[in-house]
Amino acid sequence: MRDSLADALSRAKADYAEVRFSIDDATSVMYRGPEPEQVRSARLSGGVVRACTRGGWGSSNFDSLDDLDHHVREACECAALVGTTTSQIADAPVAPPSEHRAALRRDFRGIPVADKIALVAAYNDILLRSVPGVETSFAGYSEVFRTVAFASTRGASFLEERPRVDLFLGAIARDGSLVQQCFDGRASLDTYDAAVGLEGLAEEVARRAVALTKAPPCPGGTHTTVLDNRLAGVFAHEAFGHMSEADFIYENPQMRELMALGREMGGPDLNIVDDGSMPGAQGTHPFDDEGTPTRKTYLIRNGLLAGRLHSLETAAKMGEPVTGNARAVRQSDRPLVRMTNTYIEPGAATVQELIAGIDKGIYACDALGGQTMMEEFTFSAGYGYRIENGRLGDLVRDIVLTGNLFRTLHAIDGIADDLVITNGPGGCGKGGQAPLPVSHGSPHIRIRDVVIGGR
Amino acid sequence: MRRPMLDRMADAVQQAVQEATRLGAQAAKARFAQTESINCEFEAGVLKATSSEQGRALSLEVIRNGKRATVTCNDPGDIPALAARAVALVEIGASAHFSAYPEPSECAQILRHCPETASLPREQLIEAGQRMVEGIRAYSGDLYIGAEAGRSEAEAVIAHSSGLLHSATTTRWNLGGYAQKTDGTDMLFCGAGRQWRRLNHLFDADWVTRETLRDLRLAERTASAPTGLATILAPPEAAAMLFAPLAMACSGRSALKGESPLRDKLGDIIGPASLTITDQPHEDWAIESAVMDDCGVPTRPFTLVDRGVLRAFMYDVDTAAMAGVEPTGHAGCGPVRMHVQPGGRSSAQILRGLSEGLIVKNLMGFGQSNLMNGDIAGNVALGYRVENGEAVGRVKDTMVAANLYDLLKGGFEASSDVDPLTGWPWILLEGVSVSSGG
Repeated sequence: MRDSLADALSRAKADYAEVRFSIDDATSVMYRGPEPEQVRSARLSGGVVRACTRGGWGSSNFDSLDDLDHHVREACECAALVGTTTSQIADAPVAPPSEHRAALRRDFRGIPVADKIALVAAYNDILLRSVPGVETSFAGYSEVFRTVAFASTRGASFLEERPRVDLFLGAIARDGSLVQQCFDGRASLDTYDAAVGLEGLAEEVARRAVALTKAPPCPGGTHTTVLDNRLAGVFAHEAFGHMSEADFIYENPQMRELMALGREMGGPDLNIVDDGSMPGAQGTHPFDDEGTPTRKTYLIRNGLLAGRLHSLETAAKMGEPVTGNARAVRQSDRPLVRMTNTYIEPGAATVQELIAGIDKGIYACDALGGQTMMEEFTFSAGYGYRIENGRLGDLVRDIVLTGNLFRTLHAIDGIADDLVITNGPGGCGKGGQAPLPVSHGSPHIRIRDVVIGGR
Repeated sequence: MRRPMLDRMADAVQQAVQEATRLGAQAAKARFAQTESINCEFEAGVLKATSSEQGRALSLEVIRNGKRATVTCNDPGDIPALAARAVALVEIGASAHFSAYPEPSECAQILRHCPETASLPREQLIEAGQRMVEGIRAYSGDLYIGAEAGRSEAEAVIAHSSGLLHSATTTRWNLGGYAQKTDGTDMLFCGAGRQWRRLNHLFDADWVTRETLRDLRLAERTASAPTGLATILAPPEAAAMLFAPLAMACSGRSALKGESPLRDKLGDIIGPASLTITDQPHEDWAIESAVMDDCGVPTRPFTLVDRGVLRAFMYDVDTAAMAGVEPTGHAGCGPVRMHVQPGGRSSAQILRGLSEGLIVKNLMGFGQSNLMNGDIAGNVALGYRVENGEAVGRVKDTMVAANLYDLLKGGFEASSDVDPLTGWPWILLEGVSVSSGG
């Protein structure tokens, strides 16, 4: 398949062109309440040709290789219509053509769909029946085996198999008209076993949903807040990670000034990393979707802005090294600058020490999601506890945190020593592309004066 | 369309249904859809990219022995293989509570395909984008400006084993522009966009410019947010978002599964007498409009809340069979084109009568709250403090939080003027909790 892509590209009339084509085999099962609501299977193919001429980009999407020459021509003509300056594509070394077959420790393709449905049914039963007060449940399993072929006029060429398994558990509990929910799950790129043996997690999800119906809402206002590993990882991703994506910066002079490398972003203990090459994480691949090898990139090092995430174009235009962060979600999506596996490096404190220093505050745990609009961010905790006189107090619900990135990073005054990388279902969204598989992680961190919305 | 397929695929979807039935399915439904679109994007105030997009999908749903399964592909070349996969999968399928699709019945006629939209040339899209960029740039040369314009054409055909064969073609155009103003660490994002199926006066780049400039000017001043319990005024696009929990709660499936906080409130008062919420699926040229649901049940104008009283839940075919009621033409038990009915005063009059409050144009992180419970919470991504009937400045670092059903027990008002595309009015709600660090 890679040969036919390269052959079609040989007729491209552009400064740069690439083609990516994928085939997905996917199966999904979803329980909602006592019955299975969805059993689906899909085999879908799709791809995109991109071309760059005189700095302008053109693209043509398709779902079959039958007319690839047409799509190469179309992308090149689109680019020619746009470009008026000079194409800038990073002149980074190109790896030799390669193939990366999936090395699954336990391959989900060999397991009957009926077994997968039975697995989900068993979890669903626990969600529904293990704790009184659960009104209904969500339990889902999905798998996709994507085969991606890529070629570019720079000579990059790879074939990669990208398997993924997601297991999702949710419980909804109610007390009168109050409805509370709790979600959790696991995801893996290399084994079906990640979806197995989660009976304890299912029970915990059910227990927490019911407990939240008894908990008061978190009081609104400004609180010193300790974030657990998962929520702090979402914070690293949402609050800072998106700001380090160079496509938000490279053509915006004010943003380039604001995000100048070397700027002090936080205290000297603060280190934030993106690493698309770390083993076993959701955002890990040998190459990004422009054929650039992935790598570890320090975004903040010792409190100073140390790097950012690039595509071939943003790296060239900013005169910085390529990082392998051009990623696409759907088969026909054009790659955007995206995170891979983003985390805060561990510090020296213990979690107990972080909490012990707080007279009145909030311990916010788990993440329902997050969003950023550059300097402002918001994210929601799944649940939390009051902190009173250095000790954990009552469970609270409805914790939505917000803040200004620059002030908040400086307000981190404690980083624990317990880094955890989270591999959960779902993913990141940007520019209409979601969910992109990513991992995030962090030790517990403490932040002063966080604004929490509440009633 | 570069390669129209409707005639050929009308045969193919019927063949898929027949083949699935021949293999033992009690009922089957096949749908094919194909879309082609072109788009242009402006970044940093210059044309950055143009694109052509094409996509196809063929799906087949089969029902057998109380089970249901769906298979999808985008290679319509091997119908027997697709049918065989579906029939094999249904043996271990999801629960189905019906064994036959409803007989076809007469549907409304809605205008959804505009030849002028389908042939909108790329050059005209680029010209519209350029006009948005230049209009916004006139405000300040220091803005980061983005814009996009596009058009698409789609064709779809559906057939099922109770005799339905229905095809449709649709078009749409979209226009959007935004500005980012960066001043030190302070950033402002504002913009506007719209989409419609007919190429008419609504395809107006100057409207995007005007809306964006209005926010840029309003945001020139900053103000502290009112804190504690405040009155908020939401323009149509934000109002639609704030009522999303109610759409979820009026799902017949959510009610049946016990998720909906309204599940036992049919006939109860859940809001003021001035609150009426309807689903209007037959507006010509509206993006959401539909003549039938995904099983061929005709859509119809539908009242969810009538003068404060909860009147109905929405049911698809499967859920209706579970609940022992008639399906209402709502695929997935969700609304087609829901909005609150307008009130008696204009949005300008409502604003003038507001001594203190907050205009909320955009909430960041809205979907992260417990929407099913009616909780609405988020960071005010773009909002203005109101004093003595006018917006006096942009608020920052501000969170709002409330429960929609609690709010509807307090002050509520809908404006008489509505957004011409969505039908939503401006909405005033009293008693929203506001927290601010700014």
